[in-house]
Amino acid sequence: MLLLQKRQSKGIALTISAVLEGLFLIGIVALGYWLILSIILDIHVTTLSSDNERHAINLANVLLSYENLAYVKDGKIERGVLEVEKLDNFASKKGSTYDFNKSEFVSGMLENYKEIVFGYPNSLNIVTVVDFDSCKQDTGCTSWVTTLVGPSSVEGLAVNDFVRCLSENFKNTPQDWARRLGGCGAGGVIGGGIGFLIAGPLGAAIGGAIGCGIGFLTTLWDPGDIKKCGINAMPESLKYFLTSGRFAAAEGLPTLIRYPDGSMHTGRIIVSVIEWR
Amino acid sequence: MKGLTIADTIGIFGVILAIFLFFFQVFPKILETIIDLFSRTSAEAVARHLAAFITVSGASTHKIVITYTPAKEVSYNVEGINRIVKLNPIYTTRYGEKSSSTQPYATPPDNFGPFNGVNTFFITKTFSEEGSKYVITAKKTE
Repeated sequence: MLLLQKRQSKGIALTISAVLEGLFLIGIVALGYWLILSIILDIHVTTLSSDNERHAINLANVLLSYENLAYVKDGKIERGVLEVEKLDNFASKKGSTYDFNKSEFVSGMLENYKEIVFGYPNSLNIVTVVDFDSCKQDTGCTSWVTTLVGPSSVEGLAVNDFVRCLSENFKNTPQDWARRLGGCGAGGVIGGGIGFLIAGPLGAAIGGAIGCGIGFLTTLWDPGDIKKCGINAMPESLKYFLTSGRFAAAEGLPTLIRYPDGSMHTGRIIVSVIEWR
Repeated sequence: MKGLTIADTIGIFGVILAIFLFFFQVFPKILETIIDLFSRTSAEAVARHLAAFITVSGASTHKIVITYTPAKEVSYNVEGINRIVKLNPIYTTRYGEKSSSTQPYATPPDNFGPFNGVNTFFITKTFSEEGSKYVITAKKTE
C-alpha cells in the first residue's frame, strides 16, 4: 500500500515537472514571438497592383459622366452616352484612326492640350474616342483625340519619393554601421592602391581618404532598401510599360456616341495616363 | 521509460498537444489577424483607396457621399496637395508599417486638409447651377 502511494506521488511529481517544462517552452515561444513582432520584424505591407491601369480606368469612368462630354436629357446626365457636338468641342483633333500614324496629327493632339477639371497631377492624359460604327476599310474609324494635363506638383515627383523613402529607411543598427565601415575600408584600400600607383605614399593617403568616403556613402543604405525605394519611386506608367510592353487600359471602356439626328453609334473611350511622378 | 506512469504520459502528451495547437491553430490566427489589419491600414493601401475614391466620386451623375473607414484602430495625418494625397499612419503598437505614402487623384479639390489623427473620410460630390462641387472632410471615430 505504502509502495503504491509512493509510486503515485512520484508519478504526480513527474507530471507536474513535464507540465512545467511544457509551460516554460510555451513561454519561450511566446516571448520569441513577441520579440519578433515588436523589435526585430518591421512589417511592411506590399500592395501589388498596377496603379497606372487603375488610374486610366478611373479617369475613363469619370469622363463617361462628364457633363461637357455626356448627353444631358431633362437636366439628367446620361452616363456613357457621349454627344458628337460636345466631342467636337472637347477634342484637340478629330480624324480617322489611320491619322494616328501621321506625325502632324500626334503633334497637334499634344500641342492643343486641354486643362479641364480632371486629370492626374504630373501626367499627360490622352483620351481617344473611337466610333466603331463608322469604320470603313479605306478611311478607318472616326475618332476624337485630346490631351488633358493635370496640375504640376513637386510633392509627388519620383525623385522626391525616392529621397523620402531613403530617409525613412535610414537605420542605425550595429550591422548597418559594420557595413558602412566595411565600405569605407574597402573603398580606402582600392583608393589607396590607385593613389599609391599614381603619386606614391601621399597619393595613397589622399586616394585612401577619398575611397573611404565614397565607400562609406555608397554603403549608407542597405542595397535591398535602395532597390525597394527605386522600384517604389519609379513612375507607374514606366513600370507598367516595361512589364507589359503596352500602355495601360489600351482596350478602353465601351460607350455610345449620339449624333445630332438622334442615332446612336457604338464606340470606345480609351484613356492612356502617362505619369512622370 | 522507467518510472514513467500513465499520468506522466498523459501530462507529456497534453503539453505536446498544447504546443501543437498553439503552432497550428492559435499562431496562424494571430498572424492572420495582424496581416489582415496591416493590409487594410498600411499607408500605401489607405492612400491608394482614398485617392481612388476621390477620383471615382467624379463618375457619379447625382449627389454622392462616400464614407471610408479603413480600421478604427489606426489613425492618420492626411492632406491633399495639388491633387496628391499625402498620408502618415499613427500606430499605437511598436510594430507596423511606419512609412508614409503619396498617391495622386484626378478630380477636384486640388487641396484639402490637413486632417490630423483621423480614421474616417467623407468624400462628397454635389451638383448646383455652377457645376459639380467636391468636398473632402475627415474625422476621428471611436
